[in-house]
Order: sequence, then C-alpha cells, then structure tokens
Amino acid sequence: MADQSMELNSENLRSLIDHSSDITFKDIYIGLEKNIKVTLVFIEGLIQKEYLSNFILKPLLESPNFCSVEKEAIILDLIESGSLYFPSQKKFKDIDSVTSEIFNGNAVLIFDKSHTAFSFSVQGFESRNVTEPSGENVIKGSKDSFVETLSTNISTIRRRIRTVDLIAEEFIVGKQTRTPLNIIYIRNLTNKDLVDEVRKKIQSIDVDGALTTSIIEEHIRSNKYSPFPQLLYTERPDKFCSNIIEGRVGMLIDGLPVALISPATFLQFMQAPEDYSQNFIYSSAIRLLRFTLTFITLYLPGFYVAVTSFHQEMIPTQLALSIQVSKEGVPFPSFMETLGLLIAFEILVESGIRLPKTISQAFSIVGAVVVGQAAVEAKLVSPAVVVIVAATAISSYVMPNQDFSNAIRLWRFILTIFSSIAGLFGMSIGGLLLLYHLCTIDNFGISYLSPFVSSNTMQYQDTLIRMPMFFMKKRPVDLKTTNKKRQS
Amino acid sequence: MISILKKVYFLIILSVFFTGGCRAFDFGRAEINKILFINAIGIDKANDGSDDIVVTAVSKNIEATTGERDGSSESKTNANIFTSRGMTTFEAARNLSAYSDKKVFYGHVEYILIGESAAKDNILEYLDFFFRIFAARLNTKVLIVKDGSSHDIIKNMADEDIFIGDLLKSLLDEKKELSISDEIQIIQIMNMFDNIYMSPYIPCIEMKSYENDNPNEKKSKDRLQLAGFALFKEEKMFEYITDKMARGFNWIRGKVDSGVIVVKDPSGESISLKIIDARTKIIPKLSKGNLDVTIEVYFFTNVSDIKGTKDIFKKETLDYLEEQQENIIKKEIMEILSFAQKNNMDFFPISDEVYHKYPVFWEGIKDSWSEVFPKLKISVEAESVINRTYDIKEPIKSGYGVKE
Repeated sequence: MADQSMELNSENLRSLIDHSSDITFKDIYIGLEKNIKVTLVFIEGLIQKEYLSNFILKPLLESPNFCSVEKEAIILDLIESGSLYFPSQKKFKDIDSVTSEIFNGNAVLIFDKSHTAFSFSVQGFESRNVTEPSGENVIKGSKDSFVETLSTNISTIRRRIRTVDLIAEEFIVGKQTRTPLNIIYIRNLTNKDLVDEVRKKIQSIDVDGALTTSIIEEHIRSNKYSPFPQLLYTERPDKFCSNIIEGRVGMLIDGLPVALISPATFLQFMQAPEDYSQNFIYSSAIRLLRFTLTFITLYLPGFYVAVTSFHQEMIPTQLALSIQVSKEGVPFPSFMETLGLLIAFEILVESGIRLPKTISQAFSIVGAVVVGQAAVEAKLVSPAVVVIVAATAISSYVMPNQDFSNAIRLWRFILTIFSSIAGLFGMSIGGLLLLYHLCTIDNFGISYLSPFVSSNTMQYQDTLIRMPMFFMKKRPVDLKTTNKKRQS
Repeated sequence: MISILKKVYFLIILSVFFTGGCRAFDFGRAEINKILFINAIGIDKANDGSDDIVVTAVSKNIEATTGERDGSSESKTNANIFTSRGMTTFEAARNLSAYSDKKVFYGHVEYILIGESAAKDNILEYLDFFFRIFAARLNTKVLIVKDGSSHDIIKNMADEDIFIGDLLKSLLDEKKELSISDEIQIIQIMNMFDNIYMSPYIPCIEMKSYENDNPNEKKSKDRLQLAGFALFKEEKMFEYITDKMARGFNWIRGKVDSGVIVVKDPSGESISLKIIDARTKIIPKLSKGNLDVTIEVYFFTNVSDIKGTKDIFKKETLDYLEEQQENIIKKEIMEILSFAQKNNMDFFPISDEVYHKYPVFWEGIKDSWSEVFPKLKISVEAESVINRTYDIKEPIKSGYGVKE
C-alpha cells in the first residue's frame, strides 16, 4: 500500500494505481477562469456514470456557484457545504484512504493544490436480482434469498427487523480481496461476550482472500478437525432473522449469497424452516422422521454388515434365508460389497454435480442401470446390499443441511468399517467415538449437543418434536442472552 | 483429551489395515452365504442297540430366484436333511460338519424334536448340548415325537409341499383352537426339570395316517399333528395324555383359550358351545393344619351350533346347559387330577401354589411332598356363562315365518 508520507495529489495517485486499464483519471478545469485543476478518479464498471455526470460534473462545470469562483479553497468549502447535488461526500487528506475509496467503487475528486480529496458514493455495478432460494425452498414462507451484494442483503434484513437495536458492524477481511464482512446482532439482547468473541475472531483472520464461506468458518469454529459444520449457513433471510432475534450472531460477507450464523448446534441442522410454518403435530412427525432417517443413514450399512457377517442369529430366519439366497454366487464378503456400493454411490453423486444438465440425465440412467442391475446380474453385489445402500442414500437426503449430511456421510463409512472389523461391538465403539466427538465440540461456550447435554436447562420444546409456539416462551438458555424471554 | 482421542483414532484406523484380512483377528466373522441355517433338529436314540445318538438337522431350501435353471426344478425338495451319529449330541452334531458344504449354525434352531426312544431313555442327556451352547436360543421349542422317531418324521415331511418348520409353526400358532397342547420353550424345560417337586411335561407331535382325499395321489396320507403332552417322571418319559385329558390338564394350567364343548338340550339334541375365555385359580387352603386345594374354573362360552329346532333361550334351558358344560369341564379336570394323584406326579404344579401362599408351611412339608400329594384333597369348582349366539338367535326352521 501507499507510503504514509506520500502527499495526496493526482501525480502520486497516478504513480500508485495507474497501471490498470479500468482505472480512469480525468483532469477537468473549473472555476471562473477554468484554471483550477481537479482530477476525477474512478473505476469503470463499479460506478453509475449518469450519477457522476449529472450530479457531480454538471454542477461543477455549469452551476453559477462554481463558475464564479476563483480560488480552490472556496470550491472546497462549497463542496463541503453541499453545493453538489449529492447527499453525502467524504473528505480525505491521506492518499491511503483515497485509494481504498476508489477500489470500493466510489468516485474521487482530487484537488492537487490543497491535497484534498472528496469521495462520492456513486457505486452502481451489475448485481443479481433477489430471486427464489435455490436450495432451501419452502411452500409457506418468504420467497426471497440473499444475493451477492452486501448492502442489498443488509437492507433485506432491515426490512424484517426494524428495531433500532439491530447492529451491523463492518470489518474488512482479506489482505488482497479487502472484502467487507458485516456482523449482525441485536444490541441489548445478544450476549455481549458472544459478540466480543466473534469480533475478536474475525479481526484475527489473516488471509489473502475471503471468497468462500470456509475462510470464515474455519477461523471461527473451535474444533478445527471436525467434519461437522459449526456455523449454520442459510440463503433465507427469514431463517437468518429468526436466529438473530433468538440471540445469535450473524455474518454477511460481500460477494456471497449466503449468511453465516454462530454459534450453531447439532439441533439446528435438523430443523427446517417449514417446521415453524406448519401445524405443530405435522412438524413434529416430520421432525421425528428426520431424526430416525438420520440414524438410519448413519448406521444402516454398518448394521447390515455386522448382522450378516457376525450376528446371523439376529436376523429372522426367513429373512436370513432370503439374504443368503440373494448372496449366492457373490464372491465378495458383505463388507466389501457394502463399502464398494457406498463408494460407487458417492462417485455417482460427485460426478453428477459437475455434469451439465443435459448429460447428467443420461449419466444417471447409466449409473442406475450399471449399479442397480448389471452389477447384480453379474453377481458382483447382492440385491440385498443394493436395497440397503439405496435406503441409506435416500435417507441421507432428508437432512435439511448439506454440510451436516456430508459429515454424516463420512461417519457412515467409519462406522461401516468398524462394523466390518468387530460386528455390532465395533459399531457401538464407533457410535461411542462419534458421540464423544460431538460432545467435545463447543462453540463460544455453547456445546454442540445442547440442549441434550445441559441438564439444567430442560429446553426440549423444540428438539425431537416441535411443540406449539406458546411453549417456547424463553430463548435458548445456553445463549445467555440479556433478555431471556421472547414471550411474556 | 483431544490427544487421547487422536491416539484412539489412530489405533483403530491402524487396526483396520493390519487385521482386516487376518484370520486370527476376524472376531468370528462368517459370511451369510457360507452358513447352514438349521431350522429344526431331531434327536433320536440309535435303533441298532448301541448307545449312539442320531441327530437329524433340517434346513429350509429356497431356490435361488435369480438366474435360469434348466427346467428340472420339480426334483428339488424343500428341505435339506443332514443326519449323523455320535456318542453324545455334541459329537453327533459336530459330525454333521464332516459333509455339510456350509458352516452348521444353531442360532436359528426353532424346533427340537425328540424321538420317543430318547425321551424314554433320559431326555436331559440328549438336551444338555442345547442348554449349554450360546448359539442356540433359549426360546427354542421342544416337541416329543409320539410313537416314532424324529428322523422318520423329518424324512417323511421332506416330500410334502410345506417345510416342516413352517408346518410346526402354523400348528403351534393354531394350538389354542383346540387347547389340547401347548408350546414349551427350552428355558421352561430347564426350569421344570430343575424343580424337584414337579413332574415335567413336554408337548407331543405325531404322524397319523389318513385316507387321502386327493384322487391323484397315494391312498393314505401321513399328517403331522399336535398330540397332547408327554409326562415325565424325573428324566424319563412316563405317559402320554391326549385329547380331553390333555385339555383337562390345560384347564388346570390355565392355558385354555378356546375349544368346543358339546352338550345336549332338554330334548336330547346336541348343541356346540365355543369357549371364548377361561380363567383358572388354584387355591390352597390351610385349616387346622390340614391342607386342601380348590381349583376354581370360570369360563364363558358362545353358542356356535344348534342341531335341534327348539328355542333354547330361556333361563331354565340356559341354566341347564351351563350346568352341563360345567360338569363336563369338571369331569375333564377330575380325570387328570386322579391320574396325577394315582401316579404321584404333580405336573401342574400345585406345590408352587402352596409354596407361594404358605411359604412357612411349605418348608415343613416339602420333603414329604411325594407322600402328601397323592392324599391331598383337591376339589374342583366350575362356573360358566353362556354369552352370545352370533348372527342368529334361534335356529332356522321351515315355516318359521308363517303365522299360525
């Protein structure tokens, strides 16, 4: 960056930044005798040109106020007192701030003689419109989503939470990208220590660029080697806002259409936005189904391997015979079949993501036929394993959160391997390790498994089932919010 | 803590690579298609005069549904039978492995059939193996083969369309229709033989020859059916009880669920009553140092069949019918009671009831129970109600609708 001692004038600025073609320098002469030189600096594409010409250049050159002035100092005074048709401008004396203003998409007027610069916020770059959320669609609920522009996102939130206490604090992250990041919380409600802690962690981020969410997440979470997500991300402003008013801290990053929420708990990854817009009995049933299927997707392949190769006495006789017949002629042991098919499924998923839509249809047919039928007919896998893996795969898609689903997918492999070593004994050891691992995760003093592990809170209204709203009178106790009640 | 976890992870992941293919560390892994699931097992005494034990294991044969078979499917039977012999049950069972193409696995043994000769010899000698091994389940059902050997029954059944295990299952599922037999699990047998004050009992099956109604097949057809109980005096089988006597036994045990009682209406026509619910209480009573026992039976019946044409739904007639059915049941019970007392076999067991009601008194008489029981005064009281008549009340008769 620029040397602190450098004087603020157009020459110096030119030497500093005039090597990119998109940076425009324009010298204009104003005043009564057109002898006062002003340099206009901006980056093409980041600004709205009409604003610049109509509200800044036009008055500067044509307005009688400016045309009759002889001295530069008076012009400075005039601009400061608002003679330009512009609601706000910032005055700078150091070259450093001026450069960052330019790169943030502002237009800057530089007065060489007085070493002064004015910046005007005429940003107007191309941005995506607010569209329907692509990943988290709901039937009953708002249809907007976050976009790449930070200011649009903040305004979306402001339109939902209109209290004066909603605070958006700005930080700059990334040495090269200089990405603005806002943390959003509610003053007098969110736990101050939590906000301080998040602030401290964000300030300590020292990276080149903040172009992905992982940059932030991996710096903020406490258990750095865990596959489980420890920040909740969402593209839905309503979900984001409901977490903010619950007493959590949100993070918005410029250029990313998702928002991050901290601290996240295991339970939040099992909750879907629909749960709160539908009848509580229905929501509870769906919630229970979700928990059951999560359990199934985690344990089913391991259980199958354990039962078919260690504890055959556990299978009902008729089923045991059917499995036996279906496995007749398959040369591989059960665990190799199961692991192989699980890996094949992951390959299908992974390659399906990258393919263009037109090819992927043909591809999925090939995948289904090859894996589902040809492999069975060629006696490479038994039909029973195909059914088990299919049930596992389908169950894994009920999870509302993809990050969490990925972590479960990883652990599914670990548990299957454990099962293949020592049967149900190995599976239970694997399960214990998983439980132990989940218990060690702790973000900003809130345990990942809360409220299941905090005995003093007893806040089970919104856990395995979703009780009616009037049961949820208090905010989560673990968040230690200043204001404990949400309904009085 | 994290470092401990890391070590554990490391060790476990290491163990996957080093023990995965190793025979010594496979913790007893066996592939399911390399296992022979024995469903029923028959134990007999060898019939050539030696002390050997013959074990007949049978497993269900499911044809592989995938893949084409060249047309000769009818020659396949539904059961795979393996027979072997040895000095003990275990030796005989182990000898099965000599020619079995798969690992013999006892975890799915559902039925143990014991031949009559073995039951008469010393049943515990034959069953000890199944009490002992962990693979066999404690809820395995045990059945005595009446008048025959289990080997013959299993061989006979192999030609039938239905697999012997499936047939036994449906027979035992339907046992309550007649209430002349019951299902006894191996753990109950262990308990019964442990109790020195009672005489154990085990349900029986038998092969009975019937005339074949199918014109295309052989003249006579053997059918497997439940046939009451085999009663034991210590380890040796003593006697069979069948039909009404077996039902009388079930009345005392309180295990009658349903059944038919045929009574006569005042004009002498038969009426069938279906037992729908029954309760039994064995009540020992101690008065002035004298023990007597009352067996109270309380049951409900429905009218299922009226042969005559008379309207029986009058209080006097119903009372008459109720008294009759009470007497029939009483007679059934008295018959088995007198049999028990005559042979000094307490298989109900009444000793248990006495012990529960008068534990201190029991301490005094338990050593002489075999002398007390034959002389014990046991009275039977039966009470019954006829409840319903199903869809029609009076029997259909011609001319009923015509006004006189």
